[in-house]
Amino acid sequence: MKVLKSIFLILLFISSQSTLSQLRIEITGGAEDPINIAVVPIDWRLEFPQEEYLHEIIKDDLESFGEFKVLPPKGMLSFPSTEEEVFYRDWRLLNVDYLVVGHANKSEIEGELKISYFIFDIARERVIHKAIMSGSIKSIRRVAHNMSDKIYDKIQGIPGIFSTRLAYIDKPSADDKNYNLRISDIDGFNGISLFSSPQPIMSPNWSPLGDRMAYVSFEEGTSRIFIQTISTGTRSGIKLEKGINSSPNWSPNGARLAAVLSKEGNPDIFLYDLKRKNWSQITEHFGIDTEPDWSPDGKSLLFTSNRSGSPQIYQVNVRSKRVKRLTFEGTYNARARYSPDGRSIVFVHRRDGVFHIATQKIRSGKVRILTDTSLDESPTISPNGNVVIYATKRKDEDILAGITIDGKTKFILPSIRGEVREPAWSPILD
Amino acid sequence: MNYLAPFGLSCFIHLGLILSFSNLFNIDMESLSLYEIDPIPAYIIYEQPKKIKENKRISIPKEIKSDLQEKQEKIVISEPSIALEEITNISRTPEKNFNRDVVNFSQSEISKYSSIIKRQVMSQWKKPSATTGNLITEIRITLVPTGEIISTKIIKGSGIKTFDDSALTAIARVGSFDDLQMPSNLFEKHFRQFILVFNPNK
Repeated sequence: MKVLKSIFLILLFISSQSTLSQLRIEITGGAEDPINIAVVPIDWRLEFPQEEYLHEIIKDDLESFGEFKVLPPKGMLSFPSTEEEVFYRDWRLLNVDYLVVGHANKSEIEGELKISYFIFDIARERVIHKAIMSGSIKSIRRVAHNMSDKIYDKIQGIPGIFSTRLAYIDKPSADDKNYNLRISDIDGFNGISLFSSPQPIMSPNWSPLGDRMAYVSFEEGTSRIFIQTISTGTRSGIKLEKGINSSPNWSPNGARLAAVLSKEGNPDIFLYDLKRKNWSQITEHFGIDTEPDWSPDGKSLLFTSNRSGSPQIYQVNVRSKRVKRLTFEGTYNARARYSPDGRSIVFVHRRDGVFHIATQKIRSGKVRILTDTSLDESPTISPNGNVVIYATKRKDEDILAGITIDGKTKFILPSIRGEVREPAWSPILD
Repeated sequence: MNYLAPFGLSCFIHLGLILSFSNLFNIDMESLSLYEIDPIPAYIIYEQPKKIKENKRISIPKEIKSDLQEKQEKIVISEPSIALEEITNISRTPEKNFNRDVVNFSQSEISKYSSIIKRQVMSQWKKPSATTGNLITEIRITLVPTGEIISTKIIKGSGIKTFDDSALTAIARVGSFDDLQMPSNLFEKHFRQFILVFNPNK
């Protein structure tokens, strides 16, 4: 048997050798041009006309971060609405990579509609996704955003963020003497005011399920952290401590808030247990520790501290309370946020006297500046990790702007008007 | 126990077959062919073995040397004083080139056609966003001599379906490789079947 075994092993070795000796060609990069996609106008089979065109909302969504180029309907050779009506040759002629077709029908449920849709890979001549999307006829934008998310996910391999929401604060203006905590779609539509007050509101932060919001309000004359349920609007202040109560940040499991308290005299990072309603201390240093952010695994926190003389980003393990400095470049690094994979951070970095948004790989420590504007602040990362929205100034006006994490596509959020600050990106909402 | 001898024999024969299929013996069938037209100069038969070894071991320095020689040649145009060296160079170059033709013939050709393939695949590959982490996909490609791709098979997936699909889509978009006209023995040996490694992290 030993002979057999050795012969078998030799054979195995040889056959593996022969595949190894095959020529290997490494493909190390792809084309830089955007993905060409055609979204055929959805065949509307309901008795009343549609108010907003689904394919136009989807087009705006997919084009917003520069990753897709959407073929307009006037360039199309045919308008299929089912799988059988698609001729791949037509779309190959138009140099289309992916095609979306579908039709909308009335649902059995009153006030709802159903959209059957298909996503095709033209080069490989196959359907890569088919599904039925249902939703309220009244919130057609929501349905379209959900479809955009699915298309994005099936082609890019990571969740789409078109149905996520953005919270932000707008300052008093000529029209409105109040501070407002607002929420809107990321394209600026469907904005609502969650809370308004003549006293400052600060640091909005979403709960991990996206159903509640924590923020700081000065309505009682001193800073206090409030939690508000979005759907009902009910709000309550959490246990107030002496001095500063600021920068609430929800833990990934939703059970705790990290925040900054100065009850011992100088600001330190504390944890608030939402069930037991008590505070426990995490950092203890005579320097200022502020702006905590939970790691996605819930094991550590980022915070800004001036303990070394200048503001720098530190990481603290919640259990062992061991502190590690992360940033070493420059004399101002602050307001850090983890990327959703927990491997890098995005923060405000000062270089040559100008404040930029920068990103750094935690392990390698390599810093990359993303923005070329000045006075950039409060970065917030999309839940798929691909886009950063931040507050900046344009002609002395506070605006929100965004940039993709690869630095290729920049945009401003023009539909969100007024003096806006402190954007906070929601998690992916179901 | 009676079966052991015939089994051993069959194993031996199969081993031999598999070895020859996997090109282990490196038998160049064309050189053995009776229909070989080009006569092989006799002196090469004596010189070749040594040169092969030399070339394999220090092939890179020699390349650099030849580059230097080219540069020298350029200088020679303005400085006639080195004309003597130039003559010695000329007398050496044909011999060198000839060696490279025989021995390194396929190496430079392989890299030439590999880069043609690489360029065409890269121009068609639209990397999905999900390329964080170390995603690598290996795909075995089978071609016919016209350059047309007749089969693709993922031999090592990345674990992310959209990433693997994007690589397959890129290959489908290429469809048929242009500019792959090459000697048939080179095609059969290296390009009828090869592996594309999609590795954006490099």
